Amino acid sequence: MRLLLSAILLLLSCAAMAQSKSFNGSSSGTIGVYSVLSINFTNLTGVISFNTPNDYFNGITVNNSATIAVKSNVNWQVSVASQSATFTPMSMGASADMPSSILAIRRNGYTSFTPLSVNGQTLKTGNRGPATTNGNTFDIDTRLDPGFSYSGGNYILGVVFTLTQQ
Amino acid sequence: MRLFLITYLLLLFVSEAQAQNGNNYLEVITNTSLNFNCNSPETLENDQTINGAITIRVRSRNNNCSVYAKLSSYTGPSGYMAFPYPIQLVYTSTNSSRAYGIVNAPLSLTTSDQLIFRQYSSNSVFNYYYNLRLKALGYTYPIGQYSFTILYTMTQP
Repeated sequence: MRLLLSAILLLLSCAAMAQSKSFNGSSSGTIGVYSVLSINFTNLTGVISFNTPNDYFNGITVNNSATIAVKSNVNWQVSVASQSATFTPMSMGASADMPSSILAIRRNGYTSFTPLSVNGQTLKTGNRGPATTNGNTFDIDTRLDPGFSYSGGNYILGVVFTLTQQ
Repeated sequence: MRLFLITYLLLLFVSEAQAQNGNNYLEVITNTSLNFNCNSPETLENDQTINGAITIRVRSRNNNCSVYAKLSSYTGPSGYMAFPYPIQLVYTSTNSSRAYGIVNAPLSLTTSDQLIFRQYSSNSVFNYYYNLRLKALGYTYPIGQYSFTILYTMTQP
């Protein structure tokens, strides 16, 4: 009996010696991902000129006047507003009271225009993703319709596109 | 019987001592904080690398050894895509004259052990140097805090 027990103990000892050994170490880290939103505006149109009576009767519409590309890792929205309530006259005799609302913007492919004001108005919403994500790059159309109420001249108006997280 | 019992206990002690003593060990030295920040288009669109991030010190006196790495744990905000996990271990250099089978290509970590190098038995302690790389996340990873732990395992036959 003693001999048998001893033999078992020896076998166990040999097994303990024969098993492969392993040694461990570790390292830990973190990744912080924060909201990132980027907008790129490519203006495709320069000065818009009113040269004919029809331009005043009908206004001027410029389709695909600019391209907006958004890349964002959160769902987003782009709003548009004018920097001031009126156009700034840039030449002698030009009117000082031409409102920003005679400039209107829409997404290309849509029918109704949004007249600009100093209050931001939503132009488009979209999902997170790079600029190549469907809907994250789009064109806008521009319409100017001053009618006959304002003097001829050169005018300028700042337009602000704002990208925010939804 | 007493003799065999003493022999058995001694052998067990020797076996345990071999796993713990200075003849064979693996030490992981984190040379800098392993933290990545993605807070701009550039950091989302490009890989980020922490140079000289990790040193693995190995002494394998009793036998040849193999060293493996894997992700032992990882967390992220709700909705994140766990795999492929965007962390790579990038071998840079070693002072070992006994190394072989070093994986030179950037190693994308998974939850399974992947070989990073082997070493012939030696009395010396050798260092293996690694960079840690965060692959460009792009714009589809949910915002929030991610964490990971890399486990290194040295085995001897």
